[in-house]
Amino acid sequence: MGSHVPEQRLLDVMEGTGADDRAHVEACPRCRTRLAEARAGMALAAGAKMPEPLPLYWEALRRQVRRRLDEETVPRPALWRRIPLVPAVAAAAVLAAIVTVRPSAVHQAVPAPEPRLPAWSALPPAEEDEGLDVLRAVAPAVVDASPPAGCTGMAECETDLSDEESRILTERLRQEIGHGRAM
Amino acid sequence: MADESAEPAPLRRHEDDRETVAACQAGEREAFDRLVEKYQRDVYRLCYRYVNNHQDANDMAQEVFLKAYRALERFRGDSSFSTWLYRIAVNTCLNFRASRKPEAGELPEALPDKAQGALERLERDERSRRVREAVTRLPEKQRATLILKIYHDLTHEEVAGILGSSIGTVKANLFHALGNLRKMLAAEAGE
Repeated sequence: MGSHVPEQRLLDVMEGTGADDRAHVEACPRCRTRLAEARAGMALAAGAKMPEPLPLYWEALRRQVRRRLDEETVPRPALWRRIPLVPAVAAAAVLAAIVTVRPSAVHQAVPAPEPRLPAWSALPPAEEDEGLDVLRAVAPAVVDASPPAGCTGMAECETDLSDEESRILTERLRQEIGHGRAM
Repeated sequence: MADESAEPAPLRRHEDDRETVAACQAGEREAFDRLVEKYQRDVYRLCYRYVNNHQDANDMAQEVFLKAYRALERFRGDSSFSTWLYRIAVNTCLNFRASRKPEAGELPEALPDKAQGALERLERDERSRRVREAVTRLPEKQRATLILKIYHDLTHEEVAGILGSSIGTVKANLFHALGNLRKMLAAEAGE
């Protein structure tokens, strides 16, 4: 007898297709035995019922899934975390430059009688200002970064801001510090 | 609600879930509840067949839905939702390491059939239990194939889609699974 029928085609014979192989299977004791064993296995498997949970179980399962989803649902991040990263980092970089790098340079570079950052006058002293902790935490990464093109340092870039830019920056810093306190 | 004792409906009879899935993806938690309600029986039964005990099947079924919820954002509808969910369920089963043995009487085998004699029922239940236990000892791919094909009444194509195999592989795995099942049970019975 030639080569035996492979398993996938024996399954076709078992399922009533695979007409091409039927003659071989009938004539080949080995293939016939394999097919008979698979048929017996099918009868056993098909007859094996499984116990059903009580009807109330399904509601309990849904409740458990809901509870676990509730538990792991991450709360939305605080507002200050959702502030667009680039402007926030830019603001932090400028502030870091003011506070930690060259504080005197900024003051010297501002000739106008009106302070460039008037909002600071309303802020508490730096040593009592919790908001600065937030900015200091962010500052190292940006202070070490290269300044934008055309600037030799962060402080110089800050002095190039227009009044409108300064106003926006002030607002940003106020928000940052306000949210930092709320943490 | 469908007959509680009925085996799962095949995938092709599941109605289209696109709208419900879209609602889930838009953040509507109630829509996900609806999907859980619709598929919980299929998922639980698949898990139960895999581990043959209620506690593990319950844990796994929950895990399947949690995984599905977390991944739903990335579901693009390349396959039907049910195929996708079955895939998660099978992967959960394949990765699961049974921690419990089935406990006698943890679930009633079936509602008593008054027309059946008590002895006959006990024999049938015992036979079912032995077959289920033997199924859990099949190699993993054979086990998954047999469960999906026999107990979930899926086509070879659907099983292939879920398992990421070819149809030929599915057929070969099923044939091996049936033969192995028969041999295991025959050996237990001392045949």
